Amino acid sequence: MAPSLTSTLGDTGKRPVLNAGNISASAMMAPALILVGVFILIPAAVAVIGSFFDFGMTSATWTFVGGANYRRAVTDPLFWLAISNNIFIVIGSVVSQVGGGAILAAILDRGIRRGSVVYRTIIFMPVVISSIAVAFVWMLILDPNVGPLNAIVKTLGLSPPRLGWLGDPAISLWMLLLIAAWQNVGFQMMLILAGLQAIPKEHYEAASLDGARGLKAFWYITLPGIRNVLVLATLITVIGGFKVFDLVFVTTGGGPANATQVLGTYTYTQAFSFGNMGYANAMAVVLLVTAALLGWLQVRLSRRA
Amino acid sequence: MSHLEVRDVVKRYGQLTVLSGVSFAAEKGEFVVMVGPSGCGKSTLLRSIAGLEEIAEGSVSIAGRNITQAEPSDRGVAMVFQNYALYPHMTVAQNMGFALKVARRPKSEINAAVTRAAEILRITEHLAKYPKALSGGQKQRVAIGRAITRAPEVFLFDEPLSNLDAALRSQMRIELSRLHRELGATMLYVTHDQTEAMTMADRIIVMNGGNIEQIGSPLELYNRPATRFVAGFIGSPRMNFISAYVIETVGRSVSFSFGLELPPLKLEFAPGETLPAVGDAVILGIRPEALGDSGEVHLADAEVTVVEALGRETLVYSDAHALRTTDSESLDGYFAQLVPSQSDKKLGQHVSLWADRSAFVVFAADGTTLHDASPAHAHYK
Repeated sequence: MAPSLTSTLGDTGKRPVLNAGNISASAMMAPALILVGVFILIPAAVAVIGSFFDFGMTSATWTFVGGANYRRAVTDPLFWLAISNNIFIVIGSVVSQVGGGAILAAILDRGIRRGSVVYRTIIFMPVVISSIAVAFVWMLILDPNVGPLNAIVKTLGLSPPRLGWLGDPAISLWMLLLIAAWQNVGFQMMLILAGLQAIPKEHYEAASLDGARGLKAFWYITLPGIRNVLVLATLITVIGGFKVFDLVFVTTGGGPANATQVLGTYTYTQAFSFGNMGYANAMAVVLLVTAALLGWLQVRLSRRA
Repeated sequence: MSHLEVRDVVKRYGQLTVLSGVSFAAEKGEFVVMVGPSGCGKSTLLRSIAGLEEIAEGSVSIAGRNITQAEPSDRGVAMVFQNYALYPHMTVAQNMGFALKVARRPKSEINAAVTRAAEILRITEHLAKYPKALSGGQKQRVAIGRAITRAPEVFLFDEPLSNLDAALRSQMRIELSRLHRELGATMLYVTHDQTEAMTMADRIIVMNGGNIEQIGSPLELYNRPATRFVAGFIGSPRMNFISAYVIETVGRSVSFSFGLELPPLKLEFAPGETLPAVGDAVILGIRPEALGDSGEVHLADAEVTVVEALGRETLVYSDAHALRTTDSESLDGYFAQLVPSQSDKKLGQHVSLWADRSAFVVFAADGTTLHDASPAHAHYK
């Protein structure tokens, strides 16, 4: 993982100097560096440059417009809608994924003796499925005509939303939150479970002798023990919430009526549907800077551990 | 009434009984060491006293108060764990003051208690550090400090030194003894290391298979073991055990045979000692330091098979062919012999094993001691 690499370098407090050992190390890292360069660094640089120009997908010339693309974003209500949707997803995901993961982890750590591995595996399984596949499976489940969810709701004597689970602007974003939680909660659960199980039993025993039981033990022993894991889980979720694209793109495409429009899908739409490459680049840069800041925060906080 | 009283404590894990009715008492200010092999129940007993394990039957009282059902923190005990169990996110000072903080004591009182404990343990300069910055010995001091700040009625130690290296261990042994004198506190200490037990204890409790085999001062256990188990457990290297049977009893003198081709051995039983009957199978015991080149009894001729120079003395194992020791833990039935280093035993050398009559201990087939050795035998032959 890139952040841990940076943190290792940061710990020594020195920049690597070229010598025999470093040259062979550089040779080993070259393939990865080249790939990162070609597919991440250069496109990112092009995006930053492009955000100051006005051009289309097939434009022969780029017109320099200065900060116009950024000014446009500030006044574009859809940009702000997308950002507020992102923030909704971020907050909702932290609650559902980190919170849900913590509850599941606590249940598996304390409550369930038998079959805990089975439950763990089942809950973790969606993590290894591609988001696109997850999106398609959930589209089937939520389908207003053939979906099992409608059937279940009807069997219970309730009426499913008339416009469909994903078609109703009032609930479609909540549905996306649900799908994202279903897919990712297993990952957060594993992180937190590992954190919980890394706390030695003796710490709780010592605490019970010191008079800290129940909530006090949770406050003084458990919470500090998994603090770093919780910070990491939250940051991963926050970054994921800002970057979300594939799930939204496949299920709703940002609709209905922009109800699920997020920065990722709106950037895509501006770029490839409306041909506003410069504006799309500017929004991509906003997303990039947000993600980079959060990534930096993650490295900072995990290094303090 | 004793300061700590444990009465008929029974502990079961499902079908398995790990403590089968254990009773003992410790006086105020006494240093009691519980010792025994792995799985003997000593740690379980300590944890039961701490309240970390629930007991099925029996009672525990401290300072006259029955605490069998009390929460661990309300028992007046503090415990030092084998792996320190320091809270990693708290500084040394916070670790030591944690119990007082949870009890909502005023800051000034917490600081005073922590400062005093740190001075006693000489860790004042580490108070602001986190546990991960400390060495094993320092961590163990902090763990002890955490117990001291609580000023408990009884200190409980669960193998506190077994994670330390040998040099540090013997240093900490001395410091713990000093600490015990300074605090005048009642301490209950669990270890599997008989050296720790012998050096620190006022009294030792030897446990085996969920039962107490014997309680006594270190020298009592060494000189007058109540059972074959205690005789084998206390003393290093282990006592040699030989199978024999009784061929004759005349008055209080009993003759034992080791086999047809070996001379019989006649021992005088003291008044009050239980005489075995003719034909009884018994075990004779003799300490490695009581076997030598001369003495009243010639046990057997042997060939030296292993020589371990320990410095001041040498541990010699020899194979007596016709006479083998009977102990699952002894080396191929060889006799262990502890001799001064200058005696210069060589591998393959032929030796004669001699001993004085007063050096033999006799155990019945069930392991109880029938006849004690005279303490006077405990010198090199």
